Amino acid sequence: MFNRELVKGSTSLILLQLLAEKDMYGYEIVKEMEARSGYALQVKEGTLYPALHKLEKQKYVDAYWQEPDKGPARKYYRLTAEGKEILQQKTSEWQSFVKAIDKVIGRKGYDSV
Amino acid sequence: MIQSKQDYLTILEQELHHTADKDELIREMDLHISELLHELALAKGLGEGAAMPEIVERLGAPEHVAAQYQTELEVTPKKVQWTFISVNIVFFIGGICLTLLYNLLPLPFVSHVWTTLTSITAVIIILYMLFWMLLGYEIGKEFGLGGRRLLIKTFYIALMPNILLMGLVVFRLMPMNWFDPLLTPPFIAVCILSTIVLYPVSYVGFRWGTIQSV
Repeated sequence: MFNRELVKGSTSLILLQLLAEKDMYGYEIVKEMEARSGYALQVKEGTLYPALHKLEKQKYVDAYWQEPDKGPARKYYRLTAEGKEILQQKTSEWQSFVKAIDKVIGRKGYDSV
Repeated sequence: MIQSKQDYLTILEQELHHTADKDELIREMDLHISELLHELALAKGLGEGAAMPEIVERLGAPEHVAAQYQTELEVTPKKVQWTFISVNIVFFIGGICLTLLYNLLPLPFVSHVWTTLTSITAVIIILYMLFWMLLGYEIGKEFGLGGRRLLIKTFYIALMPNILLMGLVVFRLMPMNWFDPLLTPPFIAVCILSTIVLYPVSYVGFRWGTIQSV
């Protein structure tokens, strides 16, 4: 498990990235996030919905209800053109940040803390 | 103690009592809890009562979810729009009051304020530009790239007093000597130019804000 604040700060970016690959509903997003991170990324699942609704307000995602073959209708989220644009910007920013941090703390010959 | 899905949803609904669009969130949480109940029944053979403590742990307390929902969505387009429009109107009303007081009731304090302000017009113009940049920034930060239409709408409504004042000055519909020695042709030209660049300035703020929106 990572520091909660660290995960919280990256939640929107993770949501946008997952939705860039396919439309998903809330529970599916949680499962995908856990599986891909080897269960290292665990968020309070209930807090994903406020984050998704904020992305919807910002028009980065939109949503639609769809009825599966079995069971009740689910609300699917999908990335919009604006969402793709901001995802590209934020991914590039994130990669630059990781590279910079790596340069500082990932140098060979130094013991990590 | 939350012992059932209904308990959780009831608390959530109570917490979101005055929140707009709460029904959609409650419906989604309802479905999510059903998925979790199904998962825990299959994986651990837990019934609803036994599964709820784990579900609450995974979801977060309903009070916490409601608080976060309200925080994320408390700023509405109307609130932002009317805040900036009102602030700009307050600037104008302040300016009008000061001009009237200076000309009709020349108290020493008023004269001092007037003289000070008219001697730092460049600073005032720069600060005013920052106000318009802040308008764009706040819209971009809160509403993301989807806030572009809100920016345009807010910008044009907020600009009305500026256009009105400019018309009164350019067409000499107000006593020009009231503004002496401010209204020189170069100063009027700077004001017109500044008004022209207000939208680009707001847009720069908007783009900067969108980067902070996620």
